[in-house]
Amino acid sequence: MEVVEPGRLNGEERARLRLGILGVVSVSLLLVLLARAWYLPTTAPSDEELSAGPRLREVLVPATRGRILGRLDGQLVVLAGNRPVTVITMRRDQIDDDSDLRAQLFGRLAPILDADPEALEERFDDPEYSYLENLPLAEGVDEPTAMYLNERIDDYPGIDVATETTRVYPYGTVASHVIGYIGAIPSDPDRPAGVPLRQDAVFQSYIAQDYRPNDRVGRAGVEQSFEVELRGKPGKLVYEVNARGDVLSQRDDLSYEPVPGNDVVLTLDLRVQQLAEQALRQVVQDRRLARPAPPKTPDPTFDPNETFSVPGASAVVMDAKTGAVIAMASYPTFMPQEILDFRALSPARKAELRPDPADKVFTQRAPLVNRAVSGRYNPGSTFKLVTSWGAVAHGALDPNTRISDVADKGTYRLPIPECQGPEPGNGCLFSNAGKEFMGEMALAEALGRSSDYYFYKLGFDIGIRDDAVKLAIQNEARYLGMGRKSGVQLPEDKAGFIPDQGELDRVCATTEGLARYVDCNPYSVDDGGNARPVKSSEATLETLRSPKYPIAANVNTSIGQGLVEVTPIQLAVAYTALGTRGNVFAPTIVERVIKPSTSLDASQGELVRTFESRVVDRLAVPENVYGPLSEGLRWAVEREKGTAFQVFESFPLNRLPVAGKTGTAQDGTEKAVRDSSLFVAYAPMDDPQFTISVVVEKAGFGRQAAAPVTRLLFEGLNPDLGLCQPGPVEPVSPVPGVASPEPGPLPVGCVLTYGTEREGSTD
Amino acid sequence: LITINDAQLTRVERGAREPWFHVDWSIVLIATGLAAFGLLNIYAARRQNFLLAGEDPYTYVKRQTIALGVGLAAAIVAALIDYRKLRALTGVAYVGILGLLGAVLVWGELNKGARAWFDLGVFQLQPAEFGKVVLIVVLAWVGAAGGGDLSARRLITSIGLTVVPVGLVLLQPDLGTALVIGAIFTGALLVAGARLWHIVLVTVLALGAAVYAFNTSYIKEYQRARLTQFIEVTVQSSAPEELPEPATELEKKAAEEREKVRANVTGSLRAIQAGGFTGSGLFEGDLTNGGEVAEQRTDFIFSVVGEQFGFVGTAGLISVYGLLGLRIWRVAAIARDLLGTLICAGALSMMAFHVFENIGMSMGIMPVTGIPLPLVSYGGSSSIAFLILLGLVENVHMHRFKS
Repeated sequence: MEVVEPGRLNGEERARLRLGILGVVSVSLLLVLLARAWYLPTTAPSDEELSAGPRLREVLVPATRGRILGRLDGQLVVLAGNRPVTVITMRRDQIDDDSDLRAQLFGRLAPILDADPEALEERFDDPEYSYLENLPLAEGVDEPTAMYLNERIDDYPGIDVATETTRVYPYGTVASHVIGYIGAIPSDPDRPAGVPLRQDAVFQSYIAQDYRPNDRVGRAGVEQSFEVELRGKPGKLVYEVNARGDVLSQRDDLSYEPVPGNDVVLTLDLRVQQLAEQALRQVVQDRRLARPAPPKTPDPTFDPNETFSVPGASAVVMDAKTGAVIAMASYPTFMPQEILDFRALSPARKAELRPDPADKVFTQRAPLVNRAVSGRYNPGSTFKLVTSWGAVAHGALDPNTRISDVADKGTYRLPIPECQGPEPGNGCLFSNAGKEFMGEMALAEALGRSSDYYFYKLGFDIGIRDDAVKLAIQNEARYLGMGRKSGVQLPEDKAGFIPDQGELDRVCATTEGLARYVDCNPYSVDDGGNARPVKSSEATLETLRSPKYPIAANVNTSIGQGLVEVTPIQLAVAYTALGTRGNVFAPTIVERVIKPSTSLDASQGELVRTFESRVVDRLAVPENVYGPLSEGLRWAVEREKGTAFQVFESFPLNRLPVAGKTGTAQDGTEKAVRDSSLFVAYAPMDDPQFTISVVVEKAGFGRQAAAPVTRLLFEGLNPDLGLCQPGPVEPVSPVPGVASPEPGPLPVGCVLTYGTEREGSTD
Repeated sequence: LITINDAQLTRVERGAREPWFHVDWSIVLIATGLAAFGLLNIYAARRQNFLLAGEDPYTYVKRQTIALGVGLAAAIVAALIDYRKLRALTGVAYVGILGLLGAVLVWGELNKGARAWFDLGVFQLQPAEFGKVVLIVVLAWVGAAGGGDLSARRLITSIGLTVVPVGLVLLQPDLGTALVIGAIFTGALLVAGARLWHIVLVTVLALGAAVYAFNTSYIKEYQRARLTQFIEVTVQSSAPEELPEPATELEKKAAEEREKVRANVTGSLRAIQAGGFTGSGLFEGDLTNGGEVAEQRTDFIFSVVGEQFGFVGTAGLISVYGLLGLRIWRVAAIARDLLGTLICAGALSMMAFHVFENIGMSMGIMPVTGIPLPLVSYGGSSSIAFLILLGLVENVHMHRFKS
């Protein structure tokens, strides 16, 4: 029986009602919990789904990349090798579309990886990393960090810790342009905006060859041209997975091991290679401090304080017997490691390596460019070898004919009506460099003293001859390997340009050609056969196609100016052809491909293939060509009035007779400070062993920069002479930012012997 | 009214009015079941770790058993003294608990970023746990005095009595307990006869204080992180807070806290998902055995239940809590007086909030605040306090006939 107290009744009904509310609220909360407890486990993949039919997942296993080996003191050394590295990767599919989640993940990862969240986001957006594949967030992660992440891998959705191999280049800058570098799989640079990468044809061609989208592939140098050998064959791991992606088992029947890539052996002699790089660095440094002499005739545009800019230089040393490249140097240099670790570089270094096109200085210096094969230069007077050869071989010149420039005071006047009279039009007069005149001389002396007058006249005389002769210079250039790729096994190998009619029609018919060759056609010839200057702005396709074009252009072409473009390695090939009496080589820079082995003994290693010395053309060189031409090259080096005499004055020519030719290429402005310095030579003269071709951009006369480098390299190639001894080649710390991307100083005893500007000398 | 004289009753009838005759055995049974189930799961949560480390896997089970024993004794005491005679004791307890809450700020152990514990060597005392129980009784006395109608004066008194311990708890800082006190206060006030505008006013004040605290430096970044992190884990498209490079100590702490919370909730969700419908079996949970969920024997013990026993286990556990709530609700409804009703209403509010918050947080639908699952989570102070609370409910039940 219930006992009721009097004071209670008042609030009782209310309290019960209110208690009811509390009860309803509590029950609702429990129902919410029950609903969630039902929802959570039932929306996860069910057991049936997980076990429904095994699915296969393929994982490509990259093969160990082959090494690039160079020769050092009879041994092979590793120029490009591998080392294992721990990489933190992120599966893109998990958080690709969710920038919030990604930012959160990056925010949590950044302190662990010792990185900036923004830097990680930058990587995420970087087209260098394919979005089709896991994104590497950090390479070279240390052991504790990797362990830390491995233990908590489930807390970081999409993050993986993997061991991969990365490339190492132990010798820093040595042969860097030849070795090249690796980088992301390329895509078509002209791919229209909006076309996804996976539809890019170039990119697709790689994927079709079992590349993983984020693989690093050769993008320059031997790394690129021997990609197929170096890469090996990737293996495949095939797994059975369930719907959630959990690995159930490995299908051994479908999986296979990768086949490691082959090693590539370069022809380079690293001691000479290093000496060449050091010499280039030295000559560039020295010449950047020098100023040209003031011009004879006062020139208001001449700035006496302006120094040579010397944006770059290159040198090629070729074995004249085999066409093997002994050294190939280009300056400025880089370290292949810098490209691999590009992100770690300082902003200043990045700006140097990938210059803003607006930055004229850095754009011209362009350290990544291998100038030895892709530098297309006006050959200047070094081209006179080709002019002479063509003229004599085509019967347009008797080498004993003596020509005098005295009457014209060293200035050649086009023998056309328009150019006669007291005030000839612009483009009628062609003067010797330095506006000197030299007197009467035959071909050998004209070569040795580099008379421009002689060759202007020769060029015009050939141009007005009949069809059989008028293209003598251009044809000879082609015989000697110019106007086409040299064939050296480097992807940067360029063809250059020999401006005969067909070529010009083709190139100048394009707007690009018109823009590039500012004076695509500086002269036109009227119906009467008279040449007249035409401003490039007036040039029309019709004038360009004039069948009589070469007459006037020949005058410039004959001294290697105007539209002629050759690469340093082409010059080496052409001069070797003279020295060897007719062997036109396709130079080799890779001599062998061998199976990978741990031994670095040069005689070991199972041969995969070998590259024989390749003579692509065997020219007949009659004595009336070889005699005067080689005599001219000797003249330039040995005789007091020779253009390179100063440089080789103290050189033991009796022990090592050198035949060479200087060149000074103008850039069309006639400003001395823009003159590029060239020198090509071979030695010993009668049975050449080495040919050397050196170009120093915007550094003055041939003897002021290129010839001194050439001399030093001959000293280094012949240590018996007791002059320069190449220094030892040591591995350096290839860490970008720590190791300098500059070659070291020249060894003690190795000095550059500079020629000067002097009275009565032209080039 | 019919008044019955004691003398008129038989011995049996007299016995029927004795408190011990009216124990609600269902509550005792449920509490025992929950505690036993808790011990099982506490053991399961750490078993593998202890076995791997070569230590005694029963370490926590033993400690929890001792705490439960102490709690049982305290509950019997709390049940036997007629709650209507507790008035003086309530005042003393209130002042005492305020003293302890103040003292813990000075002498307490700093643990997990909060100064909430006294380290008594073998046992860590968390005064806030007892504070909640004391406050339930205090608010019941204040409310009961109104006789079902809440005057403004009484409302202000209630607010004042509540705000002081809330403030002290927030200084530790322990947001979870502050929220529980808020729930108790709301529940007690509701039943004590609060008008609608009372509720509105209190809600507005509390929300205002919360917003103010959130937008000033009072609530530290890492606390904010803890409270908001769950949204990012479950609702993945919601905007996360800006994540600047942690520069100051506090920001670093916030990043760590965010990280920890996210890891806990993710682990808990995965464990519950892995459990599926029937669970992976006793001691069989991979995530539990792998130590994938931190704080699993204490705040996240529900994930152990979820992984091992699946939906069957979680739904069963939630239902048992529902049953317990029903029993408390019943006691509130049949209590002899408003004081008893209010004690039970407070107890129900506290239980309901603890269960909803803890399980909700384990399943990713509530913010992470470190409040335990009643009687199941490992924790001495909390278990003892809950047992005392149930003792008080029994007290109301047992003394409903005793004049």
